[in-house]
Amino acid sequence: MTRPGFTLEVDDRTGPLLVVEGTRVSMQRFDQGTQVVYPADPRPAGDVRAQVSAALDAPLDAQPLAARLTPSTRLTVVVGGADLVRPAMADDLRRVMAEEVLRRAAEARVDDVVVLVATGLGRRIGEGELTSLIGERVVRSFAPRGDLLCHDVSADAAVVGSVGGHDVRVNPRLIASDLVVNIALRTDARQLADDQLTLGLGDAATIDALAGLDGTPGLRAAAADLVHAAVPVVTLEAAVGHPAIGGMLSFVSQREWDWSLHDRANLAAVQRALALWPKQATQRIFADVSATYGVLAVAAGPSADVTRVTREAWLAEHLVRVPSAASVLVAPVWGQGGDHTAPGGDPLTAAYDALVSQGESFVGPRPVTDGGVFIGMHPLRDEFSTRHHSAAADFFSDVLSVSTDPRRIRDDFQEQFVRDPWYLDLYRNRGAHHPLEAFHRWYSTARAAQAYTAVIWVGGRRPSAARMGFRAASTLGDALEIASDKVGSAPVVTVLHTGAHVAVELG
Amino acid sequence: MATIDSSRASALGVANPRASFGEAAATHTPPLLTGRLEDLLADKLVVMTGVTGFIGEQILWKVLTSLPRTRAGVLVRPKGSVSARERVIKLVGKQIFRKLRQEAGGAEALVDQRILVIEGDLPNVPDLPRDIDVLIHSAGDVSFDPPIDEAFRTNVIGTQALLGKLLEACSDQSGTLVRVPHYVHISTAYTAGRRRGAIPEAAHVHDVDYRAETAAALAMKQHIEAQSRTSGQLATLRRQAERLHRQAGFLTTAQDTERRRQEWVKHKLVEAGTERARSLGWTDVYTFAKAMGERVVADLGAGIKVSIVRPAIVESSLKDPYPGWIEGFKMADPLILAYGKGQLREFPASPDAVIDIVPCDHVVNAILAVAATEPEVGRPEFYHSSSGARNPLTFRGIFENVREYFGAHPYGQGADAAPLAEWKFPGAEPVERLLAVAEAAQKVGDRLISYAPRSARARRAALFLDRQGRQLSFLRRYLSLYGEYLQSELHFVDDCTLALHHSLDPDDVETFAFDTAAVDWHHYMQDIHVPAITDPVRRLEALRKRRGGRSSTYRPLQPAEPGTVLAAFDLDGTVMATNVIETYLWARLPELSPVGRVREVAGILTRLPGYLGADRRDRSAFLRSIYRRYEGADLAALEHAVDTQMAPFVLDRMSPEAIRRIREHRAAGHTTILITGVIGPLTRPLEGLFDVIVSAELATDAHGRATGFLTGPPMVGESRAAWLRHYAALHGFDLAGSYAYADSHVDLPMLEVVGNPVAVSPDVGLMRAARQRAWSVVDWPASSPIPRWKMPS
Repeated sequence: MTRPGFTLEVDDRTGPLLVVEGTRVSMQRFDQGTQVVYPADPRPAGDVRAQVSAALDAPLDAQPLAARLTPSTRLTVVVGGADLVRPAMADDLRRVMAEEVLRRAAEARVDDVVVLVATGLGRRIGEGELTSLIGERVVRSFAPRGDLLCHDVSADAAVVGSVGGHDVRVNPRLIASDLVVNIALRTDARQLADDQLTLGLGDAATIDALAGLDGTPGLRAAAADLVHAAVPVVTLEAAVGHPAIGGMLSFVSQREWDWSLHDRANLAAVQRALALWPKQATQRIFADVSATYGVLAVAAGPSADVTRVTREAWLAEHLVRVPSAASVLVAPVWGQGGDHTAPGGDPLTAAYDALVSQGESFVGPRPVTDGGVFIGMHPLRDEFSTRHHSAAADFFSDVLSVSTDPRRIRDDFQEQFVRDPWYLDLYRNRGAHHPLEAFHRWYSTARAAQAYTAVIWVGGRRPSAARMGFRAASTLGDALEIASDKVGSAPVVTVLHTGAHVAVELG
Repeated sequence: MATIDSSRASALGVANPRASFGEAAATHTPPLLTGRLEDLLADKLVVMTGVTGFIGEQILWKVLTSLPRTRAGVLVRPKGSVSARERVIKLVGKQIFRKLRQEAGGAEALVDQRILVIEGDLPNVPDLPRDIDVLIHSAGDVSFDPPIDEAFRTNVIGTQALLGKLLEACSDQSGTLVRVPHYVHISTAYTAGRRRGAIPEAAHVHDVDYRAETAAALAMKQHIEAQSRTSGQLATLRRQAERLHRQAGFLTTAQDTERRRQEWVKHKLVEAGTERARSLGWTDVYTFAKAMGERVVADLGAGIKVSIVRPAIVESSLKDPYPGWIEGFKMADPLILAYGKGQLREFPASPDAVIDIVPCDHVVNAILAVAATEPEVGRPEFYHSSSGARNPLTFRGIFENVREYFGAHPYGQGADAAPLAEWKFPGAEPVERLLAVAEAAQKVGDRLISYAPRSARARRAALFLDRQGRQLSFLRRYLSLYGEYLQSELHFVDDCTLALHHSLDPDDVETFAFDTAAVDWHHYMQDIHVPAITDPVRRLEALRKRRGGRSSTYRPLQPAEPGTVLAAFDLDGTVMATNVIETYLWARLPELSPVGRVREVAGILTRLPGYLGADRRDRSAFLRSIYRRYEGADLAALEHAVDTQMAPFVLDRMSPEAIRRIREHRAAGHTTILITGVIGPLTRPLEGLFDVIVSAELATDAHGRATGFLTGPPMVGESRAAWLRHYAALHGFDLAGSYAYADSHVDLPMLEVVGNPVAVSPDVGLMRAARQRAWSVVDWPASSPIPRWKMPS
């Protein structure tokens, strides 16, 4: 039995708590009265295959998958990209899900099967990562025939209709199919499984229209409806629990007072290593982070039904109630191994992670009062991977130095970046993120930041923070001091514990 | 009046002045002034040489300013395409002539109204005006260590020619003198050479034949030139050049060899001059040739009026044109500056040596007073313009003054203020020993740094070494030039000069004073001289600081018409943090079995010293020896491996700044070119960045396997420069407006062909070359955290 998430109110008996910022690990004390949000305990993986099989064989409000497959069915199996889950799954659930779907296709002697990896604006992954995503067996049998494809948002796409005056174009294989099985993971409260079909398999212009500066959930839902109208879709979605991080960073996914001797030894070892080893070596600790995820629920069937089931399951596990609305929200961003060449995370990713992924993950009323202050914790080093984030690096240095205003950025810079042949070459052939991604992430980040009267980065490189229109402070105390002219000297502070990926609810 | 009174003599420490000077000097009275200078020189044509020099410029200024009825003539040589007249117009454009210009209505008007410009050179002197009354010859070499032939050409042959033309101008067609001009020769007090004690104002006693010495000096030039071209000498010089430039190629080496030969010739001629001077009792070739010049004057001027003025160390003016007027650095000045900058911890001078300084305006006034006298024909008059006899300033006195000045006005402000040393004057030997040890350590350091791997630390160490080296060589050169003057135990009797001063009309004393005993050295050093030489340097450095370390060749890019500007990049170490051996292993290992991999790495390791040695000697031989190892590799498989496995490595290792710069070039419409010795397949991931990629191509056999040879010579050193020139000529690129980026000394030729070369994280050799040529040095680190031993798999 796992314990649910909860909010710890710091009192005089509370010891120092773990804070990981980028690749910095420390134990910090918080002021009395601070609300520290802890996630639920990690769950064991359980028998995923059985759960997946059960879902496929008894879908919600539909006939079993096997019954819908005939030898002549043009089947397309859609799988999300590798970056959707951080830290990476040690044993990717989607591998089991894909294998179960493909096994049923093989049993039904379906001849025309294509696996489409819906990477959207994310990086197109190579054989190595495909293997860990969907398994060596699938890669071996599909890749040589050209039936395992990583979607390219810059390639030609097929029109399925239009929403809000924009053509919706998706991967031509998607709408040429007789049946689409959309294999998705639920990692938050908002995401529609259908987004994977439009934002994961659309072309760059479509994605920009749906999820760019003027994109709305309504437009996205309408676009998904177009796809559903064009082709039957079976959604297979698994909601995942809190990750149990393996290796040296095991202590991150445990509560401090639960730490075993092993966790404590790991913490001591990591702190020693960070103090003594050269930077290159310490970054390896964070570059290879992986975790085991427990499955909360697996459902198959029509998208809307599946979403309802998995969202409920996800919320049941991840919802944490916080007693009072905070005037200051604190979110540490730690290096979750997103990128081998910048494992601590670059400033853009860190800001997105803190303000959007963590700060916007709530249910019901906003858990921060109007006029509140956001405090992020990250070094904000100006380090971008030359291979993966070339466009983001240039966006950070050339675009944000001119303006942080999303509309101006979109009007003045977006087109030029999206057409840049070098970025596109890196995206198509070298596993880089699409140049548009940096823009979209910034739009979301800037929008999220508007909810606060100030955004302050603790331990952040001052020029990086200033570049994004934020401020920097060396300690949390200093940051609260800076915030005091907005929120007074005795603010209600809510801290999202390092690694806590939860949905916050007031009450 | 002309004798030294006993109180002064005892102050000089001379027991019996008459005994040491000789009777003649003690009783001689020079011709004195009989009226105001402007009357005495009224309507006379005074021709001057050397007016573009330090003393000459002020003589001209003084004549124009204070002798309004005197006609001024100047002998000036044209310089390049600039005529003598243009040079004089430029000269009177200087600040001190401002009032004169305003009165005359401009620089050209001033020249037209007041100055007779005679275009000519020494020793090719043109015909001089026939109405010449006074000729003041103050032109001469100011360097203390000119090559021996130059020293004689200027001071002996030049003077001979000038006097010859003067006599010609004053003679009729049969060669008989019809007018008797006054020739005023500016020599130096140090023509006394290595004599000691009091030096009288008279001809020096010696029996050196200036004609023979001049002939020998000119012959020496021929001799040393010939010697420098012998095979033995050329081979030595070539080896020295090769040690530095062999990697870069033959032409670079050849250029350096020739430069070294010319330097060697000059050095030998300087050495020959110094040694000849010392063998005859002079300190250096400058004073030796000047002394020979005095003999020429005595010989050729036997039939005319001749005066010889011998100034000691001329420094900034006391009063005119303004206190502290000085042009350039004189003898003591570099020392003063170096002390103020805290660069001299000790100095080998005798604290009690008299440094015979005389303000420039005193020298100028004395010269004009001398010019106004009427010496006896056939009896040259000598005048010392000096301070040591009656108002001595010792080295310790200078030191204390300089220390006091910099104590009150430190060089640099706040944390940058240089600490001031307290000199203990231990004597020449300990300092010489220290200097020798420091020079030896410098050599060892230089040798070590040439082996140090490329890093920011090595560059910092090299910069430190270079700075130390500059200070050492400054000290060494200074000591060898001026060492003797700083220990000099001679003092110049200036009784004739003093007598002349006393004969100044009372109305002239204010304007034309030149009694050096009146100089208050403390005031002169604190308020006039030291500020005069340090303020311009401070201003210059402040200006440089304000401009910041902004580079000259790494500049914001301007858009250009496509096809006109190119930007060439080196790969290894510039765009990407790798080396040839590393990329070889990346490419080769994945193909091999585990045992094969171990064998390959072990093979490389055992041969590593050999490879590194080859790289030091000849870059292309090194590359060839590495590429031999590709023998048997399947080229198609290699290309596939690059695309699928190595590309991430290549991209991760690239410097973000490099990529940014390359893209900026492309955005500006420049053609980007990658020139590398790396084999072609390895450059595939970079195809998106470069318009042209020039790399080494592996030759293959019929089965597509590498033979271990290249299809052509690898593109290194001078080949890159040649390729760029050819490519630019072929496609009409403007190399002067183009860019090149490289990290290694080998790439020097490639950088030199473009107008905007940039050294990127350079090795020590290239860093030094870049600093010398004022090229930008930038650091483009690659930020990859992937350890170097990690291989593509």
